[in-house]
Amino acid sequence: MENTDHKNPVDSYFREGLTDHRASVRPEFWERLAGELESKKRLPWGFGLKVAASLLLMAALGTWWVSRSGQVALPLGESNSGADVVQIAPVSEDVKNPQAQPSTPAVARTPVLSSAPPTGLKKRQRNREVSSESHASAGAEKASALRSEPVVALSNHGLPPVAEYSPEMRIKFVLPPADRLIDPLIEQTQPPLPYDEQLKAYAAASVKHWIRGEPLSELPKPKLPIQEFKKPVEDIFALGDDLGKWFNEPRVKPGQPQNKPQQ
Amino acid sequence: MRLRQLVPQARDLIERCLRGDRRAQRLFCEGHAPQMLAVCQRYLRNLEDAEEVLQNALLKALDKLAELENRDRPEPWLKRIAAREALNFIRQKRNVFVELDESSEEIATGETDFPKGFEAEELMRLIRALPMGYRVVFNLYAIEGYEHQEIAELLGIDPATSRSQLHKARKQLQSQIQNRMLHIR
Repeated sequence: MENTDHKNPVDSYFREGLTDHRASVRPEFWERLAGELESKKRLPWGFGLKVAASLLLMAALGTWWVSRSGQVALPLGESNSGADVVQIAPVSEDVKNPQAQPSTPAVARTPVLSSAPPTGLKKRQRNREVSSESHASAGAEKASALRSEPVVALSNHGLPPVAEYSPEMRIKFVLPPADRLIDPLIEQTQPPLPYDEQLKAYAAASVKHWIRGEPLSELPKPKLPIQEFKKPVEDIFALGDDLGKWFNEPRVKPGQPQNKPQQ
Repeated sequence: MRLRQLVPQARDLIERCLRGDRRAQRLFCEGHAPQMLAVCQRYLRNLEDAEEVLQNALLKALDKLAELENRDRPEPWLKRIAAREALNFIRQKRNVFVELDESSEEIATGETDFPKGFEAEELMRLIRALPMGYRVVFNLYAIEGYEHQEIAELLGIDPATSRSQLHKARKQLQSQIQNRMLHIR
């Protein structure tokens, strides 16, 4: 790098005169430099990036967790044989009186229902199941209120059972046809349950399924014919202890507005 | 011997700096800043600008300290960093050769007897009085020891331009020294 022109007197004069020349540094400079060194040490780029990435990750996890925690836990215990989920669909047609149907219990345990959906229910989802005028306007709170209404089971009705919520609400729920609940393969391999047990499981699972807001299309295909169930609905509720209590206890909140009749 | 123990050797100091020792870094900066500031001031007239460049140079030196080969004698390396930073600063601020003012040339002719005992500060003042282009080329060539080709690459100019700038810088310095001597007499 050194150039070869060392002979120029001007160059030599200045080079020699300025060798080891030192300038005095002002005190303010040291303060500024110390600040720079401090900030440089405290927040290096890599650290900043790590912090940003961590915050993003935490935000994503938090969003996911909050969305999950929006689901409501079931108010019912996991009782009643192996039945977990049964669909209850809104009434869209007249309910026939199946009183005269014979009683021939031939239903297997309901392991179909063991493929239970996650415990919990998105209120929005459940609202969708409630086919009434209030459906559109019902928010999460309303849905919760609907669930706490006392249930008046339709007496004098056999199966397919109909659980009609308080007449003021005019919301009817029909248990899905029983023949959609039983897996034919399972039916072949397992002995049938007693009639009452079937009924109990059927009712419990039905209500749970409604609570969870599971769409009908997700139900496994059962085989049990509707005629298998001939007992009135109140029998169903009486069979399931927790279930019956839950339905029969009046839980209307004071001042809670009630919906107009659907029909 | 005692003094050697009190004042850490350059190599030890650098080793400690590399380990992130804050005190060592401060000592390192304090030890070398005056020389580096002198380099910056040769390029820049304004003290604030020179200090800004010095700060950048010191931070860069600490960053790149691991690349220093001769750890026993870091001064030339640090001076080069300071000079480079000063050039970067000048480049960012303006074109180096905009200030070339031919009318400012008062080229003295003939040989000059250079006086003995000119203080370094006086020499610095003479250099800082040069137009920007002259000053940069003279510093790089006469003081730092760069070749014209290197200066041309550094500044993005033709080597011939570097030569002419150097020639004019020398003439102006020579003239100023003569004037100063006449004034003294």
